[in-house]
Amino acid sequence: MAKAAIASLARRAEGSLRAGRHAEALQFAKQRARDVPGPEALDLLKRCYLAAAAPIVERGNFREAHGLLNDAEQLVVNEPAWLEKLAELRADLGDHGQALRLLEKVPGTTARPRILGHIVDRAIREGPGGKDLLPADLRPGFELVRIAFADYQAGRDEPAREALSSIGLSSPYLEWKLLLRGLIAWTANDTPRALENWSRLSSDRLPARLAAPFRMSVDKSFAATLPANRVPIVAQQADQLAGGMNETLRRLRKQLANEDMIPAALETARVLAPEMKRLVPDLVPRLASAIYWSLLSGGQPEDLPRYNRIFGPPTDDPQFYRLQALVMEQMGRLDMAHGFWAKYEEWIAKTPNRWPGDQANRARALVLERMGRLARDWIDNEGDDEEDDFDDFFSFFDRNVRRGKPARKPLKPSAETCFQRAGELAPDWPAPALEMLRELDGKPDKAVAMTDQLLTRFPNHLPILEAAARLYESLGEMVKAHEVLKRALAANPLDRELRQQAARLSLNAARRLAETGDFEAARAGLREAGDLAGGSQSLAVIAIQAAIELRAGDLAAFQTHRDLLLNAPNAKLAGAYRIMVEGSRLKLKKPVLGPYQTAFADGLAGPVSVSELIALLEALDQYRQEPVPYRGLKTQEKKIVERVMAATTGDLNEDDLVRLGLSLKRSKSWKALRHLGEQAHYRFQLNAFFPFFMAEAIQSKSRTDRVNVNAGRLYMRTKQLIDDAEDGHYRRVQELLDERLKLTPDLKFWFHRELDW
Amino acid sequence: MNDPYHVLGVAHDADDDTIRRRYLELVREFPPERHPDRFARIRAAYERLKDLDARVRHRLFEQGKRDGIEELIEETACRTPRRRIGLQALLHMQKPR
Repeated sequence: MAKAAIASLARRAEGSLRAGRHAEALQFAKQRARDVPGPEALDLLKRCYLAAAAPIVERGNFREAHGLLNDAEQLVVNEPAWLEKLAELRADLGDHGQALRLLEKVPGTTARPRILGHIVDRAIREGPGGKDLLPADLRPGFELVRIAFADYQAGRDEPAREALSSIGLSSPYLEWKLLLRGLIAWTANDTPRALENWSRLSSDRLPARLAAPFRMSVDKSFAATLPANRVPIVAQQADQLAGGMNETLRRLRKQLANEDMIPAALETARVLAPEMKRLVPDLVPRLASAIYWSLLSGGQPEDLPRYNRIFGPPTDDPQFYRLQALVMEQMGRLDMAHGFWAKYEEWIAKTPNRWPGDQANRARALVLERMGRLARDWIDNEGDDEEDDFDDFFSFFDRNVRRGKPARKPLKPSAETCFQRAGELAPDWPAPALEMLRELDGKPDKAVAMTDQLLTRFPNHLPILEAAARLYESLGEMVKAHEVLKRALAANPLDRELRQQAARLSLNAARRLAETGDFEAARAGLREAGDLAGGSQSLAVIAIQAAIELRAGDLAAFQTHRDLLLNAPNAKLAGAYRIMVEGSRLKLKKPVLGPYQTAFADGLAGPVSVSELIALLEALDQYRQEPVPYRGLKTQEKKIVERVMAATTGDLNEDDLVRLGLSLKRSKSWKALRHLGEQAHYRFQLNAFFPFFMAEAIQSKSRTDRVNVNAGRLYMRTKQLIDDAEDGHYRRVQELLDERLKLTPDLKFWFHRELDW
Repeated sequence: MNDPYHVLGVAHDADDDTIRRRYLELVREFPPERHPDRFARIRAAYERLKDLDARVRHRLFEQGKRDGIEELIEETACRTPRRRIGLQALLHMQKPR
């Protein structure tokens, strides 16, 4: 026979074996052994016999298994392992006579105890009649095991132990003794002892299989020791074993995981609660809690009275005002949420005895502060109707609240009143005062009075110091702003943001001094700004320094600084822009600034690298953040952003688009960022950065801490792309997403939704 | 068990000092290098109760929120009487369905 045909038979046999078609594999192996006998053919044949016989024996199909094993025994092989394996299969089949005869062909075999074990397993599996399958010397042990099990089942643990005591360490019934001792311990809730007994069982014996569901129910790590195909079977047996309350709890778990099955879950809880009250009364409040919070994500109004009938009113929310407020917040119905919180606050005020110490006042303050933010967001959100395109997401309480668009009248009590009352209830808590300060935007006199008062009450509170600095800065009171920032820096010397803010103020002060002709003081201010910014060579400082030296008439110093600025990597365009801006601020004449204006205009019109654009955006960002914008900022900003947008529609590669996007995000150029995100996402659909950029640009329009619906979908898309990518590939965008999650915890709500992309 | 009062072993009306003292006792008893998991639970519980603000926030927005059915299943499995299952029933369970 041709070599190729022989090889093909072997391959086909192996293939059939792997596919579980054992009978077919055996036929191929037999044919190969007939055509080309030899050790390889014999080895393949033996493996095929064993693979074919095992499931037939397992099924207990005696005649078929007997015939197959007879054939296998005809192979002239005196290999001990082969004969022992055949003996084991004979034992599993209940043919102890042939099993022992096969063992006799293996002088000095150590497999005898194992084979005897399989013989007794088979006999016990047969029930009372199994005794007849055993040789006479194994029959007394059989009786002992059955008696011990009967005693155990009847609750007579001591007689069961006594019956087992005569089974010795070398007995083939030892595994049954371990199984039963484990069961006795398990029934007595002595889990460690049960596990200790069961851990000594041999995995190829029947007792180990019988103990498996018990072990799985109490030992989470046990599943990992099982073959993968056994895990679901054993898990199902464990569920079956648990029965009663545990089985009901498992059903409840499944129902609660599905928002549409909350009514079914409540029905299950109705049946379960009385049994739990009887057996484990202290766990009933925890069950009630689990159901209460699950109503937040999937409940309907009619579920509330059902809940009440089962568990009674929740201790901290007997009228469900809090729950309904939270639901309304999730739905974006801020007006209704505000109303429910108001009722909840009233309820707390009426029940002070339920709140130990000063908890009642603080709880009311927390609720009022939340109401204040809702009242403010309600007004801020006016006109933000994008959510209306996504009605299908907000089916919760749908029929009651979405019947018409409510008019946006200010909510009562107003944000200001809420913050004020919260502050009165919790005078040591600065949060409402800070919110109140935000509320006074546009009322500078009131804001300054309140800030001065807050600085006295909370002299070292960082957010208050920062807010005060921002306020003074916006009112042009730079000295006061500087002083407050220095206080904040003294308390938090490593805070990078604070240092940058203080550096900006020092730069402004230096500019003002230069305008008045006090160049020495201006230079000192620049040195201070440089130190605060973490190095005197920052481009912003160098640019002002160059302009100041030009104004002071020191041309050599000007040229040194100008060269430093223009020769920095990728900073030629940004350098020209900076000199142009700083020079115009110090009112330098047009002939002096002309070359830089031309360089800037020509640079924008010509080819620009991504790195140069990034440097330019950094410069623009710096000028935008300054409290007093220079004349012409808006025009130049428009030109720069248009140039960046033009670049994104070109053929930039994926990495450059990401770098540019990150820079646009840093500089909060949202329009350009959205444009870049859309263009790039169209080209690189599996890149997680681009939907994230779009989402950030959309979310930037929201003045609330809630996620805009369109942005939410894009954030979800980002998360999906991150999850689908290799580990660590999108670490940076994951970090940015985490930052967004911190700023907008509402985003969690989106990540828990299943959207169809 | 997710209840921070239970983890720290303090009453629901305990004040800042009592909670801090108890926390320090537990940290001495279960230092992070020898009991990392237990320490992490103690630390998390303390963070939720360390001052009035944290306690009230916990009570209003967190209390019971982490109580999952999974924990209840485990706890009831440990505490409810376990059925005695006979040999025949055990063997029957092994039969393929």
